[in-house]
Amino acid sequence: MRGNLLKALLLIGLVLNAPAILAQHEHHMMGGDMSNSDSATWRMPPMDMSMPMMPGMDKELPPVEPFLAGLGMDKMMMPEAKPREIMELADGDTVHLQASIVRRKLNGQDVVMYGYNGQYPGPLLKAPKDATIIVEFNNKIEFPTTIHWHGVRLDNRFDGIPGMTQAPVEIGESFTYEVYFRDAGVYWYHPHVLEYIQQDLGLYGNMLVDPQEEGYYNPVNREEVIILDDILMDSNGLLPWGDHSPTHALMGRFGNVMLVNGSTDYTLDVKKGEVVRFYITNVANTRTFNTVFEGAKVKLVGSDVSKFEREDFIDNIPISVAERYIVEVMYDKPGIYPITNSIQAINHFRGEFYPHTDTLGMVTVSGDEVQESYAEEFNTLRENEDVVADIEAFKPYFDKPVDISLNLTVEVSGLPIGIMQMMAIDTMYVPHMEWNDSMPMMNWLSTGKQVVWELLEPSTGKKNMDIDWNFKVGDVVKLRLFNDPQTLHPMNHPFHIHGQRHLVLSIDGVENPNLVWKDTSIIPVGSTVDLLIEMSNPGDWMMHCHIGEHLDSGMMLGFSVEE
Amino acid sequence: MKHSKYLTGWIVLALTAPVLFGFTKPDKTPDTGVSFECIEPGNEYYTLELVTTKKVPGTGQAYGKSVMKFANSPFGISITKDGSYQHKLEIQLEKVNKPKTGVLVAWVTTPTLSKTKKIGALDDDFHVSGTVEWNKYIVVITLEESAEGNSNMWEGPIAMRGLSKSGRMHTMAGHGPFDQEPCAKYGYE
Repeated sequence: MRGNLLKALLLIGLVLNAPAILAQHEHHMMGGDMSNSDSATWRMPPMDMSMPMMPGMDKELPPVEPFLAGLGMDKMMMPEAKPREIMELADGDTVHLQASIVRRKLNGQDVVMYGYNGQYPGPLLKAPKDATIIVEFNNKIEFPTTIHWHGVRLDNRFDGIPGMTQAPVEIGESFTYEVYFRDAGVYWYHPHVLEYIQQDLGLYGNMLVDPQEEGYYNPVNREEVIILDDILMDSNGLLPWGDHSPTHALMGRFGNVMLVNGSTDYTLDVKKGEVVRFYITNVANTRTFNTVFEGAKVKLVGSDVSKFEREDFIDNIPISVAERYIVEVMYDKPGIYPITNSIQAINHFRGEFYPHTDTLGMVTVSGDEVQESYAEEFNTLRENEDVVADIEAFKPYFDKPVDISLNLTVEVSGLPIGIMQMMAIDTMYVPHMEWNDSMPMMNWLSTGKQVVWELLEPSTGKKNMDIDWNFKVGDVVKLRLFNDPQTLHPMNHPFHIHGQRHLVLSIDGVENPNLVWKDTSIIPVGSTVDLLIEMSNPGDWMMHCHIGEHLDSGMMLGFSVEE
Repeated sequence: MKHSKYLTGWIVLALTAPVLFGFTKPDKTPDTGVSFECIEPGNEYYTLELVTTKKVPGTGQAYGKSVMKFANSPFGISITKDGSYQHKLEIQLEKVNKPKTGVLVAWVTTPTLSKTKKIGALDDDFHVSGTVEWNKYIVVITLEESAEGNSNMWEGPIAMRGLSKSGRMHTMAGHGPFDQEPCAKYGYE
């Protein structure tokens, strides 16, 4: 009886709604070009206009103030950003970095963004392993900020954590960092204040640390350092961000314009037979890329903080936010080949996965033979004995009991009940990974005021910054992370540990057969991931999800490592 | 006025849909009598329940599960070039009587039956493992004359079947206001 009544109500609801669908997007484009005005207004995010939407939803706005950079300023008077420069540095060198407001051309539109030294991305800092560089930083953006040297096991005082290792650098003020490069590889720097805005607006750059060791890497014809990113735009420019509290708090802010090194038209010209070593960094707010080098053979060499134990030929590179991968790519046939992000996106309305491909860049291979061929070295898979030996010392800890645990979860309150119920429908099935923004309106409307992402310590019930972990230098700690699928809206999390390095021992009890030192690891929905952390660097540090909107919705904790 | 009518409809839809379809939250444990406890927490969310068709002698009381984990990958998650998940399946049946003739074979197929892959014959403990590279799929256990038979498509009767968790994600097209096309056109891939 109750079931029949409910069914009748449902049918009434469905029938009443039929004519409404076409009218739902009537107010989709609000606002307009506001770049020269004094205040921002909300515009609904771009979405599939054939997607039905709950009536009334087009009138909903995030309950936070909108923010756009450089409001009230004359855009045309701002300096136009330039592509990044390379800084070759030696031990003891001093670098001047300034964060400032810049004008950029993106997708044919003039937009106001931020840049380090007026560049996109920030300058590429190249330094030898074991070098220390001095960075004189000056803040000329509209917020206090800091610089975090991601993955670098440096002195704690210079880790760039506001309220923990330093006070935020106020507008117009300066701070001097000392950055010590303990490990070879590719790293990146970015703000640790309102990352979801400042980083998204262009404040990021790479550091390439030369191993200073003959034969550390395979010989290659050239090296390319590429940064993957995306940004959310409509025909009026950049979509506003939440001022001091993020929008898109549920899934993070997916962009709809893909960027490689800050540009929409990345190209590379190589000769037939060339081997290129790519250092890839994902700096997007939330997007995980499944990177494919079409037309080429690809070899996996390294990741965040080391090379892999063993090289491996691969078809594609899934790279989560803040991760890095080092791959060598050989092009042996002339032609024009795209670099793509190839995913199976989800359409919840249609209840289906569908293939989606973004072209990130194009590689043109000429018919000219490369002068020096490294094909033989490329086609040989190396076992990296130095990495194996380094990790060997940690093998006795692999089977130790779990020392500390975290459940990754979320609490949502204060969203309109209709949205909450639709979210329940939306999450009937929860994928391991969110590759696209499958619910753009609901995601946009969720803010840091309604969504609290949590690192929950099950043994104490403590959450986020209330967790108080203390370790000693030399401790080897097994951390178990469980990404709870039984929450209102589970999501994959790129989990970053500051100041230390870790190994991913296993996922769901399946041992990792090819280890590499990491600082950021992906924790898929429903999975249990065991990390082994070497506590080697004293100080007060953070662990957190690196999705900008999750971080600013609470998903972080502090821990200390004592001498 | 017109708008409020639509709004009323949507409110009714939003409030009743979870009750009708039971999708306020995923079930913690399917009510099958099967132990879904895994070595690590979390796996059970993606575990498939295998149910009997009662069409094959010796399987009338049978039940089973297919535990789904990522296939080995240097990236932790295992993703194919086209972005599909690559899973390792561990299929285990319980309360099965060994068939007097023939052998039980496990298969996976897409919901549209457009692609089929043989996982292999179940061993004496009614266990078999294999990999699948589709995001939505059905596990099918059939009775075949031999383990080496046709490797492209089953020929014997279906003994058991189960749908991947992603099969819960079903189209809203073909229902109510979206009833412009049959739902069979959508929601299966």
